[in-house]
Amino acid sequence: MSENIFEPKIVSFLCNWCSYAGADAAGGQHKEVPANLKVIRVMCSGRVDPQFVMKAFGEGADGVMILGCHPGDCHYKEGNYKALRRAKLLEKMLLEFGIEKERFVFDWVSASEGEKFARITNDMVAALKKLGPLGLNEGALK
Amino acid sequence: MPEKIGVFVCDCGNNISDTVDTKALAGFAGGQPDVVEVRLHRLWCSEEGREEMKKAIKEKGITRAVVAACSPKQHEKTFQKVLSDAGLNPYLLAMVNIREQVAWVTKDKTLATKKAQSQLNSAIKRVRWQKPLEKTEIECKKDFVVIGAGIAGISAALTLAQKNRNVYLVEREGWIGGRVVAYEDVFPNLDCAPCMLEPKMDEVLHNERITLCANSEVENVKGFFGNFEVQINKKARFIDAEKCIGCGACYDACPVKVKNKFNGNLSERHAVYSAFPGVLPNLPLIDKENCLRFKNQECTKCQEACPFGAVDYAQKDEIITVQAGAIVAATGFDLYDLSKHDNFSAGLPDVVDAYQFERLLSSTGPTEGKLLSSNGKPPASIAFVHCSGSRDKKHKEYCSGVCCAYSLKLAHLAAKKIPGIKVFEIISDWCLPGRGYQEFYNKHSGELSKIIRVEDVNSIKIARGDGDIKVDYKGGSISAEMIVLAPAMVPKGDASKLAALIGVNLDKDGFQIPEHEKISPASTTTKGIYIAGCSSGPKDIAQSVLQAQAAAGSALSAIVPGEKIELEVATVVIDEKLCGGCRVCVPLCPYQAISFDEQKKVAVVNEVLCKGCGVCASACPSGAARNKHYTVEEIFAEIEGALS
Repeated sequence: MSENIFEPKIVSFLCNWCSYAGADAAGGQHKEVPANLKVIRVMCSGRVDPQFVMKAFGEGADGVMILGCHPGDCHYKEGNYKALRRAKLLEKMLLEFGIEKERFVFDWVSASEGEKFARITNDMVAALKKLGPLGLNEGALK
Repeated sequence: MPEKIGVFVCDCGNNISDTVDTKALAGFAGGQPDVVEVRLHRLWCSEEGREEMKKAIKEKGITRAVVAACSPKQHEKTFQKVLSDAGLNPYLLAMVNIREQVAWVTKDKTLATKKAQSQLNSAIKRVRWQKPLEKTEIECKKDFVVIGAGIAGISAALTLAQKNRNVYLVEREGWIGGRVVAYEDVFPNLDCAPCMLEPKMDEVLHNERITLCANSEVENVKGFFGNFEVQINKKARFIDAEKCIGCGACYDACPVKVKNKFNGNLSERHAVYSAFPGVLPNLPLIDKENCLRFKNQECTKCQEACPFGAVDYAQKDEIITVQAGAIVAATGFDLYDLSKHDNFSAGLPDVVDAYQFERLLSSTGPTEGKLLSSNGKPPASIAFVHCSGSRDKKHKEYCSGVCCAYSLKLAHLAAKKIPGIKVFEIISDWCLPGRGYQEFYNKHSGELSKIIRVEDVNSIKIARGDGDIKVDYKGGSISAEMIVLAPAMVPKGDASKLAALIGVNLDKDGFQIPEHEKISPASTTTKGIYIAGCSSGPKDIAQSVLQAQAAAGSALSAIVPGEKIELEVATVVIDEKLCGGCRVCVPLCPYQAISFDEQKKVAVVNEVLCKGCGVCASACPSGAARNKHYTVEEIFAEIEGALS
């Protein structure tokens, strides 16, 4: 029955200190987080190399998410700002590749924001369901 | 030789197995390349579980372990220990979080199992790339440097001066005691400040574990946590401390007269001077800026006046280098310069700031405690103006938190000194949050002639007429013979210089930023550097002492004599064969851990300073910077595993 329903695959990079703890908090509160989400833990959102994002899209992800500590809360002082700077540039580059902006989410999630984590991941899945698979769009563009 | 991967799947009682089909998960793991052993357990973290895991690793010759269980934040260390106990390097473990991030957030068992499988696949693919990592330890220096000998620095130094520890207390001025030593009585119990401080200052001077470097500046700080090298410039006093008894015979012999800053420029001193009677250490100094000898004039008057031959014009600045495990920076505050304020006539006679007024009340002050206005008579009325240059975006946006309290105190002390005096408080709000503060208000606010509440204190106009000083505010005006302004507390003008030396961030107002505002208020993001007192934000005396003792306690527990410091394991290394010398990484490092080797033309990471955030690794265009345990290969493997 569910064969025809598109389930997007999302790779999310979570910083160890805030966002990964926020994802754990969502678990502690038994919030529903979409099973579409694959989590990769890094120490800092600043560790996320743009090539990780490209690799994820290349391997078939329909969306990529980077979550870091809120401004001012970075465990490494300012790694999250550096991540933000990169994300802004990356966003533009992805558009050039025909990867819509909804497919790349950069946001802040603190260790206590289990609710926010659940909300934004569900939102992203909903947005991607509307948008459809990345490969299909690419094909349609050809 | 192929890896032998062991996969350990946990039911966590039924926390996981209720939602994830752990048997199916184990079945999936068994089908993956190089997985030689898969085991399922009710609770791997239990003593019995850990024992079984250890045995399995040993017996099956497992070279990499994957544990699919709870969050690594909960039990990664537990299982790393199991690996160690089994003779395997602990960094050859990969954990899969199938409890918090799968079982507890997914309702549908099929979806949960599928997600768990995908995350497990990532870990199995990743673990083969992981490398054994070794913990490194370094020796540390057991001594400390405290910068600033006000109430915070003194408190920190006394707490730090434990058995087998030495403390170098560096003070810019020629004396110790900071701001507090200048006050007469302090809020809210009206304790005599010098009396409160005296025993502490005496201990500083006589504690053989404390080396006081007064009239000194920190010139340079090198090194890192556990191994700082601090260069201190002990400036020449031109007084031989061994010979001088502090009798003061030299002062009046000096023909030079300049304003005494310690008295808020309300009195004069000589070029050879002590700032106030009772100064500690009781040693004068010659102020090189103003002494005639240093202006190429022949004058030996002070030397002639000294009965002990203690004046030594040939004394030179001396640079000493001390080793320290940690540093406490407690450099204090200044008052906001109200000459920048258009409305207040600050600096005109009888328009004084709170510090000057404190000195007017002090028995060691310019009037020896007689409260007099500039005409030499006791004022008949005084208006205290709160929030001067505070809580106003044009000046300083913040509230200093102590001015309401001390303005009330000053009004009370004035009323006590001059019976019948009129005292006004011009406020917009009362801020009285400390213990005993509100009670002080309740007890003494009856002594106030009037509380004038205005919407915006900074828009009132203060103008000096021929006699009185007129204060105009929206809806009225008053006249007073003296105005006492309560300026915002601001950091020292050169706070940024020290901050750069010790790697401390400053906020928009120039105050030092703690590691965390609430839960790490005395440490900073640079390990081994602690902050205390008003250089990290306005505080009252009690809060300054609290933070100082917290800083000292943290430093004492971080640096234990004879014990080594364990360094971050998953640091970044730069492969010099791959490094192109572009230097992109150098300014990115938040810990100044990367330097550039000019000879080899490559970037080099100091692994003692590196915290392993990986910001440099993700910016390196040649892949020379490798973040151990989070390498490109490891993360790519995770991505492939998650999407295959």
